[in-house]
Amino acid sequence: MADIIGEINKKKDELKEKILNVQSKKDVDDLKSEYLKIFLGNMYKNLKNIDGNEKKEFGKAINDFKNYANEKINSLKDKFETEKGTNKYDVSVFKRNIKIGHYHPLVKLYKKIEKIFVGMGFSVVQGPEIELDEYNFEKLNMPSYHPARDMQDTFYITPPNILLRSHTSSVQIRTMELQKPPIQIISPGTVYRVDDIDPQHTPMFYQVEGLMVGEKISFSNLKAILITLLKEIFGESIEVRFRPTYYPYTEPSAAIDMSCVECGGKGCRTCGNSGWIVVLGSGMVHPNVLEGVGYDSEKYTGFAFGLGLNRLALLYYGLGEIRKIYENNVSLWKQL
Amino acid sequence: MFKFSFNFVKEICGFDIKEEELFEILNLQGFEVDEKIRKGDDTVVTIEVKANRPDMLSHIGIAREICAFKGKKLPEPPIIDLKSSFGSFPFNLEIDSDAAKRFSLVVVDGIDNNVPTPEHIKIVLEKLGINPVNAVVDIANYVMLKYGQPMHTYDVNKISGNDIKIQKSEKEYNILTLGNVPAKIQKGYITVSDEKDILCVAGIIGTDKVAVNKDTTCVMVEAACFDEVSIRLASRKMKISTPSSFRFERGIDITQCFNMAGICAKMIAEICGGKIRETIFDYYPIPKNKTFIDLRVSRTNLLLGTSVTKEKIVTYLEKYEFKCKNKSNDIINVEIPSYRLDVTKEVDLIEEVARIHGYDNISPVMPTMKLQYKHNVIWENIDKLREIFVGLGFYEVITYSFIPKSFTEMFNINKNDDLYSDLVLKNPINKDYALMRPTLVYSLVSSLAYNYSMNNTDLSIFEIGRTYFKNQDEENASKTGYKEIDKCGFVFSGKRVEKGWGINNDIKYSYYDLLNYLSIIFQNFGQEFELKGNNYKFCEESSGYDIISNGQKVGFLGELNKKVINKISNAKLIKDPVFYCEISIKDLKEKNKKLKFESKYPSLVRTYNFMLTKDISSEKVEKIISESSPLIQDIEVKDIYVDKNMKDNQYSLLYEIKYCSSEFTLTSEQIEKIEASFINVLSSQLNVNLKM
Repeated sequence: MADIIGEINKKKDELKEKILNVQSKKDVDDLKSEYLKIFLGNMYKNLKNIDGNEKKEFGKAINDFKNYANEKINSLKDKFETEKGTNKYDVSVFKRNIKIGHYHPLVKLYKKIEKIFVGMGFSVVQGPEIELDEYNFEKLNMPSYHPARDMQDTFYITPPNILLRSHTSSVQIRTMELQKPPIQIISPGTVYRVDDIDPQHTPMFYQVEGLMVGEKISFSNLKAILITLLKEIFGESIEVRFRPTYYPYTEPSAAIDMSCVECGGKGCRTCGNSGWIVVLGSGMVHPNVLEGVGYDSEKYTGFAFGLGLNRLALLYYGLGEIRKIYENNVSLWKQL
Repeated sequence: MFKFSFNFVKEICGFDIKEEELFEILNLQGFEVDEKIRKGDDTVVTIEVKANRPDMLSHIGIAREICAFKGKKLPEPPIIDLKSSFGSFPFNLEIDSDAAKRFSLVVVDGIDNNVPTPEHIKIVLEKLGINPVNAVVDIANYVMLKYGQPMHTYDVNKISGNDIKIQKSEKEYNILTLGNVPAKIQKGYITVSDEKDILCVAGIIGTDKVAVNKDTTCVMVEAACFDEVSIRLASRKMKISTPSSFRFERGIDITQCFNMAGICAKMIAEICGGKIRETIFDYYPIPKNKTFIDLRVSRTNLLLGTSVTKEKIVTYLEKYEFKCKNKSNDIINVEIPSYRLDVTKEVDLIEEVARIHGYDNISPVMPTMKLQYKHNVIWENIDKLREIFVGLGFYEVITYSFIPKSFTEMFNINKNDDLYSDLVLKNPINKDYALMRPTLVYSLVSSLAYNYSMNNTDLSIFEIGRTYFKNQDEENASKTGYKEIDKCGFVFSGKRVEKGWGINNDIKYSYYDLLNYLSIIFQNFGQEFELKGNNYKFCEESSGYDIISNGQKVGFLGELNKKVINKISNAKLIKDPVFYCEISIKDLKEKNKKLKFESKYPSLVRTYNFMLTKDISSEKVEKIISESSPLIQDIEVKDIYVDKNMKDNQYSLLYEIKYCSSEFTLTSEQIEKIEASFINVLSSQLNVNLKM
């Protein structure tokens, strides 16, 4: 009898030790089967063969063991079951059979720009892409013989008068003809210049031009607006510099460089080692242009600017090839 | 673009300057340094010279800019004092006043053109990519590169007769230019001819006849100023651009022509021997007066947003050789240097002041503006459409406005169809990018096919794009004779939902998705539409419909015909049906929508399965149902199907009908009464019955 009690105590010690080494739910299950089923089962079988007082004493020992083992093992069970509970869902699995669509990257960038200008009180205007020479060149101070026309190789519908606009400045002229100052507009749209399609060229691109005309609008205003634009898009840390240049329709004219977004101005491949990237063309609207639309150029002054969205998108998204913009491989769009 | 030798510029400047400093000055003054190539101990620099500054197309010009920036004086070009007599020039010249503004000739006799070209000249030419020819020609080129005046030289002994004419051609000729290259002279080109032949296309290119070679002993040096526009037009038409024509069409300093002829002749005499003839020729009927412009200090500061003092402005301008006189407190009278052809107005001087002051020294100040608001309907519609499509899982594409010339043929579009167009570019990049598209269908299918080729299958894409037509309407706002319509097109094919995640089979896009998307769009704008069968041959049979709204066609839709679209590259990769729809954006008009409050009484939903025949549309059935009682709040088609037990022209529709009253709680009896009434009408009027 004492042997049996001793065996139970021995088993109890054994269990105590094993519990410390439990690693998994399987270990718990094993303990359960060994101690609660097999060992206790055997003990209860033995109990039948024992009589009287001994039986009572033996029964108590078995029950003590049972309570002890149940409590210990169940507490373990809880521990491992709870852990399993946090794994109810595999949160590393993403169901992707419901998809959101995507804006074209050019549009997405354009919208950012539009928001900035609309926020500053500019309106958005559009105009025809098939344009008269008069609006695309003539009224922009570029008569037919003007050498500056060489910069913009033009597509023609019926030469020499009907062409595909080579910039959206034509929309500015149309707007000024219809409206008296003050004017504060942006004219976004597709423009065309003869170029083959290759990694760095496309015969069509998106331009955003802007115009502000009123009393006492100055070059310093132009600077403030465009610095705001660039810092808003590319971040406060970029530097902006204004350089003299020439456009027939503005005087003074300014090319606007931004410190290279790739190298921060140290010089790299993107900026041709100069640390600067040309991003905008701008200037004070030429008096000839203002007079041409019937404005008094003594009373009104204004500035205009233009940016090629495709080149800007290349910088903004870090795309290597400009033609990718019109290839429309949507697997790129998905990353937006 | 202008290429110059750094060492040569430095030599002209007469002081030492580091390359980097010179590049920085040029960059910041508006002459972007494009390329720097190291050649021996020198650097050949290419800078961008914009059309307004032809004075920068010479080494002197660059040196002048650098000296002014550094506040130094540039050594003046030598004035050649020819012992001149205008008496008996060997040739009689007849010059049209609209052809040349100045024409100066100097003859050098008895030269030996076998002498080698001096090394310092040869080196400059070679570095700048000009092949040395012989001493005289090399000197002429050198003078051009140094001073910017193009020179022309004639072998006097080869000129036929004594008469030389400079005129705008009135006839067309075929001639051989230098090196026997055939060229056609058209009306309006300026020519120089002797009694027999055309000696050169003035300002552009010469001929072999009077070309100076090693045996030349008597040379005539020409420095002229021609009509810029004529030179430009001729050069463009001939497709020849020479260093001379490039300068002439932009303009040259007319006051210097004669002096330049003298400088060149003197160099020839010094290098090749010989003697400058005393009789010279200088046609200069209207000598250029000095240009004076009044500059207002107040205007300068207003336009630039600065407060630069008058004294400062004078200092700036004088640094750059503008001579200034005080005219009043506010006005400076400025004399413009003869080479500054770009400065003709006050505003040009203001730019000059800004440039010298430094753009970076002008502080940015936000403008004050008058508030205004402009409504832009098209733009708002476009934004709204984008939101809808992106929400529906579509990807946006932007494609070229030009499509293949053969598009209408490819898509079986007839001359009478509204999508027909022959609006082809005169100078397309190639025939596949030639037709200004009348529809977005080609572009969108191409994009879809391209994506299939990139393994982006089972796809829905949309484009907001422009289409182009000749304008038949009276109204012609653009004054171009063409009409442009902004459209929204969308196309999809393949699986809409893939199997998995509880879905047992792939769900493919169907024609009914097309209708669903369309109604989502119109519903969003609060606009009604109806569909009317069309006969576009690029749609599968009886799948093409026009979309009609407010009584006019606003678009079309259909399942695209596979045989047609398979002509587009990669389109064969799309195995499933391709569905397409396009809508004109200006025809969408957003309406204010009133919201109906739900009743406080509960609604009841019942479903009915009706058998229809193909001549009866669901629209008719729904009309009868909804008219049967005001208590019917909503009717929705839950499914459409055909099974083999049905007759050929039969199909079944499962409707879900929502009943509700705003005044009481509906009972089953009330609903049964309504049901009975529409079931009865459907049966008697349309022979549509519940499916048994």
